[in-house]
Amino acid sequence: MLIQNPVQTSELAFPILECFHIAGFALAIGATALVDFRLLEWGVLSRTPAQLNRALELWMLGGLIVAVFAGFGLFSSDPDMYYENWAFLIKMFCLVLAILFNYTIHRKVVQSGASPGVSKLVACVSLALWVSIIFGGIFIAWVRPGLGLS
Amino acid sequence: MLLSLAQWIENLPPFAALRAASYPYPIVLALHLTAISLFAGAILLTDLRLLGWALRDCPVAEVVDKLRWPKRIGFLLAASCGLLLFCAKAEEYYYNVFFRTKLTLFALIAIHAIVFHRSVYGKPAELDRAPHMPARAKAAASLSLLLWLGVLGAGRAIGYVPGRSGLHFSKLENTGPEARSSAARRPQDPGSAYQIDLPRPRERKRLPSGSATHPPFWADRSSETSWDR
Repeated sequence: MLIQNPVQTSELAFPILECFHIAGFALAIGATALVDFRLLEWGVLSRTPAQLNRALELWMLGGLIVAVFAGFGLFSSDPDMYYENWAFLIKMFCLVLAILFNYTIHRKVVQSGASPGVSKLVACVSLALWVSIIFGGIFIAWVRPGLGLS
Repeated sequence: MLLSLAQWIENLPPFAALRAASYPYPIVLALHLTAISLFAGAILLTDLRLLGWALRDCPVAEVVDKLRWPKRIGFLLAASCGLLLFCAKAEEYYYNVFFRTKLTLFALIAIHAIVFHRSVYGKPAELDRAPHMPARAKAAASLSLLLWLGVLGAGRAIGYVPGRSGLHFSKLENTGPEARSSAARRPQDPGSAYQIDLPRPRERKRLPSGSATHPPFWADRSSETSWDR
């Protein structure tokens, strides 16, 4: 018996997964952004970046997990299309980079501090990586193999 | 009157250009989502703090006060991008049932802000002094969460309503790759009760069942009320 992917058999599955995807990354990126803004000396200045990160990191991870798993569901709706979609490939590249950066350099700078210049640079790189993932995600819908913006 | 206003807005040169061009529209959309994700976290975290789920070792006053400006700036950014998106396709949005839902939710959010500003968000220091989080604050936080998640859902759903035929802007304007590709790939569907004239963000695969030939419930316009009638 052929087992159908529920994302393809229900009209509502895709939009609902998208909502979870958006809510998840809004929480994850929002939490990271607050830490990055703190590194840029704006926002929650009453806490050190390390304290702020400790309060927020679980929420960031939770949001990221929701977004990634909803993303697997979205991907399963049409894997071939995503595989050929350059916006998707760039997005995945940036996602891997952002996660690696977040848990290595970014984490080290947040927890043990660095010179103001380095902190600001790290915050900007982190913000740029996360924002590029959002742009990649939006552009997936505007790109088609052979016909898209390429 | 609202309808003619929408038609006038979308045919103003900058908005017609935004609609016709290929890059700017998705860029504004991405900026809209960027503003949302950079700052919606602040709204979520404030509500979660009031519910006692997150940031429990930070005083409520600190959370509410320090996140106020990030939230304001984020809302302003997201709202201005959203306004641009609306102006580019004002007539389509005018008919869109989920756009109307989203506006209604914004009205409710404004009422929420007026009702709870004095008792909750305006004096967070009192919430810290109270032995338990007052029920009013928890109610405010849960309502805020529900309303904002509703806005998210309605906003995402706007893109799923098929465009109407006979909109009052020229179809020739839609010559971006988006329009070309979706026109080229769209299966001919003579049995369809509705026709899609506008590029949609994403052409879904046809469903294997016969259900795809029927418009989904949100595309049913038979019982639609027009604000002009």
